[in-house]
Amino acid sequence: MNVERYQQKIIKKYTKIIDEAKGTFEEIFDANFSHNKYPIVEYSEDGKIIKISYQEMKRRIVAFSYYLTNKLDNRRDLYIAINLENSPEWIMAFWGILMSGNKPYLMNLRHPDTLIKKSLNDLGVEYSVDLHEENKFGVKSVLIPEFLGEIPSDYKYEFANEIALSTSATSMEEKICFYSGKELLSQMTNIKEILKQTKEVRRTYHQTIKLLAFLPFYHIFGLITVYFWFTFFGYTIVLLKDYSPQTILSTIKKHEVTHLFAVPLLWHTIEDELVKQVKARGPEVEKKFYDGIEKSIRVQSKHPIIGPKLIKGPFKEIRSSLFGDSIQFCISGGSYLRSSSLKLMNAIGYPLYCGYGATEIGITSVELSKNIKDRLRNSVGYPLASIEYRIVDNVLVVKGESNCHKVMINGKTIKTDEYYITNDIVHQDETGRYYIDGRKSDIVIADNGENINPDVIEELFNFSSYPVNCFSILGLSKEQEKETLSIVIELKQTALKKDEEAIRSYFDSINSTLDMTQRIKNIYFTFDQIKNPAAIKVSRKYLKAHLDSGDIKLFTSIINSNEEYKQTSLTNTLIKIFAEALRMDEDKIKPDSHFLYDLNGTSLDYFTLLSMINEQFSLEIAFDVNNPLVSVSDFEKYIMENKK
Amino acid sequence: MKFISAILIPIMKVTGIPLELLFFKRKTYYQYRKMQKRTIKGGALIVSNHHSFWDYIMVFFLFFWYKVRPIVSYEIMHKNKVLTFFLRVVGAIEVSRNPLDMDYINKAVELIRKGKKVIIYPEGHFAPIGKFLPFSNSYLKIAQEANCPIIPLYTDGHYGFFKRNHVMVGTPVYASDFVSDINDKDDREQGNSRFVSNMKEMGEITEKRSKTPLFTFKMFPMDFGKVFIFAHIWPFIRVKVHNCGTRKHNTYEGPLIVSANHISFTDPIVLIKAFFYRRLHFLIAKEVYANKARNAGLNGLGGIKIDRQSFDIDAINNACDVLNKGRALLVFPEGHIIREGEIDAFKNGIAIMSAKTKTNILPIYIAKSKKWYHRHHIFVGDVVKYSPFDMKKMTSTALEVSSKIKALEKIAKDGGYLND
Repeated sequence: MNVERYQQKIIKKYTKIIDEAKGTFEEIFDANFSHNKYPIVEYSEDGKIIKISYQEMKRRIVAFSYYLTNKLDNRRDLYIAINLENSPEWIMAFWGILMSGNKPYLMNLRHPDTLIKKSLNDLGVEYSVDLHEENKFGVKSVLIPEFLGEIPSDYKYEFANEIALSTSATSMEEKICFYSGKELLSQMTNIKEILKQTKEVRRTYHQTIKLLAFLPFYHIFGLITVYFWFTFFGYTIVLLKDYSPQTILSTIKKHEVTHLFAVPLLWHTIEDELVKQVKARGPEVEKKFYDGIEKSIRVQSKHPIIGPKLIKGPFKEIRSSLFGDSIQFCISGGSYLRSSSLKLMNAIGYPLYCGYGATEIGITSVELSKNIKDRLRNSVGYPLASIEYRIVDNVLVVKGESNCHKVMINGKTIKTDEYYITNDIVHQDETGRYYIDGRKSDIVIADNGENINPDVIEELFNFSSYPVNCFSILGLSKEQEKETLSIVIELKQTALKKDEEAIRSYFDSINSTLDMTQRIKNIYFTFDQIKNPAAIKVSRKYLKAHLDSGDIKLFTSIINSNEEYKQTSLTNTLIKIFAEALRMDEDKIKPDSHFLYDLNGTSLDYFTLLSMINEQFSLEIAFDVNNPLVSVSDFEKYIMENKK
Repeated sequence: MKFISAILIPIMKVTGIPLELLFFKRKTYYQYRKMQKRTIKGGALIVSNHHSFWDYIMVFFLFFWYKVRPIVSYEIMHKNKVLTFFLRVVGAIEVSRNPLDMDYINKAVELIRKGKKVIIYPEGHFAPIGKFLPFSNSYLKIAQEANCPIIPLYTDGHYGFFKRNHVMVGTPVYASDFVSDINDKDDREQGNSRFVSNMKEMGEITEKRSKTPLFTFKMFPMDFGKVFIFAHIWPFIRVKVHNCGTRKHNTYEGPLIVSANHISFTDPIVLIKAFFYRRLHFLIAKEVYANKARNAGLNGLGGIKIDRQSFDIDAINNACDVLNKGRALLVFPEGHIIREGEIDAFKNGIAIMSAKTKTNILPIYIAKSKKWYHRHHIFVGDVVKYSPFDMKKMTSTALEVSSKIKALEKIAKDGGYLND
């Protein structure tokens, strides 16, 4: 059957199910698992692709729910935590808990252990579902057995009607949202509108639609967009083995992933890497690359149908080094996306759209315009069918049937109001599209009273060519004075005074182009981590809290911060890198030890060493036959001589 | 050199066809035919085991439409002038004599990124026939850096005018399937060993399949009988296969245990028709072997006699032999016909055979039709992967097969294919 016709048939069938459903999880489950032979998930294991069909998953869910019912002695209405990352077992545990009459708690595994323990305690969780070993959170473990056992033919089940969801790891606050089946079904009603509005979302590759499970299912963005929206129509989720960039790229190519929904961090990283690679190939290639991007945007805006196909050829090499040809539709959500990243991704032929949502309200809007110019404006589109937006004092307020019905904050359960105040500053254009300008708490008031959004200024800076881990622009006050716009730069441990000078001159070159009111007044450096290791972006709230507590120490110059900085720190860093490349104790490595003869390194270890040193010191050390660098002292000498 | 290469390579390939047909007589197998044919889209790294210099010549013809660039050592590259010229024409990448110079990795990565195909022999030396030497793991580094698929290639190294070469092209894998952090030495070593075991597995399968020729006199009664019998009963045995798993029933190659519920004497015939493209052997109870004529007929059709009263070790060994030869075996694990009622408990023999021969089990549910001449509906599920031989796990494997067949029964029931 023609794919288009088949899709229409299936969409018609399932939108009818949504319309007629009363709003129980049982209805959602029955509709979800009525696709028998199609794979629900697929993943790689030792190079082989493993697929699990909807019918097989259903069998496992029923078996697990029976196992759980017995394990809990038929107890019902308990909150049961899911201590699993994205996996077939996660799906099994989620539905299995609901089917056993209990309520799943999708705890955020990126939260610190203390916060997880606190939320488990406040919610009164007694059990958690674990995979191989018992959990460390002080609740009883229900380990998923290797073989789930037989399901008796007379087994009857009754679904619970609530799930609990913790907020994202950025804020590091205890906040749990509760959704009923009806609210979740309202979320799913929105996909009906999306499918009606745009054909782009239904684009296939080799007649299939596959989504990459980049976002965790315990996050609202992952749960709604990746899991519920697409499994409902029988599409396949591709699971990742880990989150390393190489695994992400190879999984997309190998499994021919068509849809990629991710947070801006991914798009920013891709942009930074690509820009770095293009720069390394010389100014001519760089100019050609940027010209190509402009031309691509022009072609796509003039010819929205043929344009995207035409531009694939010129960007073939870049596309093959990234995701290949299978990607058809991408959404970014979760925080502010740089306009340059949005432009780059769309220009090279990966249609990237911006969306908006929150744990309390689910996914509420997404830009779906076919016109590339609309997409590049960084708008989040119009509110979805079940949602109503209002702007009160520049802040977005959301009303909708799909909002969660109650929230637990620090142990206190609060019934949510009809309107949810998002605390996001927004504006609307003449076409009715909404634009997110930033968080209310992040806005800095300039001397002339103008509201300045640090996100917009942040996107102008790109420190990828310098030894910088990350940075943040925020309002900082000194001794109860008024907040001034400042930049905090987290340096790599190997940064030298010379690097600081290079960073300063780069910073000044960008800062001087800004309006006087928008210029950054203070520049601070730190060697301490400014980003929560579990979070995907720097949270200004987290940074401010750690600055107040003194955990993060700022300084204005490297020398000031590290007066005792000596040559030995470079030697120690190099010894550490040698030890890591050779898997050897640091004590055994002396500054003059020969890599091959004294330390028994192999040629591949040497290659690894070179790439690690290049990465760490932002250098390009190539192998020199006449004068090979073979010891710590050789490298030390070379770095001191060649560092910018 | 580019111009010379563009002219000489097609000439060498076309004029070399007779040599290929006489000297190699190559038989190519695929790990999963649907996923990997000899078409390679974009850049790729081919990783092969190494028996002799002829390995590259074989690859030269195997990937007929592509220029595959080998990575060769300095010594081979400069062995003699003819060889040097040939290797330059095919775009060989030279590995320097200096152990610290890993520039060939950068060259290979650059070529692959441009969409070229590169072949590497990580063993570095010629291994004896049937054996593997330790693999150097630089291929993982190349594949990781280039973000390209690795195509595993196994060759048995049987080259010569009176020999036949068997080759298996594996499904494309990525370095990230085996290693999480390429800079981590231990991780790299573990990934390498997993890749090597994958290659060894390919070698074992190739060996099994090479023992299954398309035509043998021994198999003649089976093939002839199948065609002769079905020529007469074909219109009456109508089979509808419902593939409920992620793969179609007719895409499985190599050894396979087909496990089904047993509702009637016609079950083997129904399944033979469903798997008509394959030689399907089946276990038959001793009682069915009544006289010499019937014995000969059943044996010829692929039957294996089994004594259900005692633990018939010979029958199990015969069945394992069949699987070791890369063929399919039909088993009814209930051990007897159950015309009405629920599916009976499964015997563990199926799990033992699966574990001993490292064969997956394909669960099948045969829905009962009202009359024997009515359409037979069979439901095919996802394979149950074999587990390592451990007597404690045998029961759970058999239970898993049984549970999957029961799930298929439910699908049949929901679809209205069961006659109550």
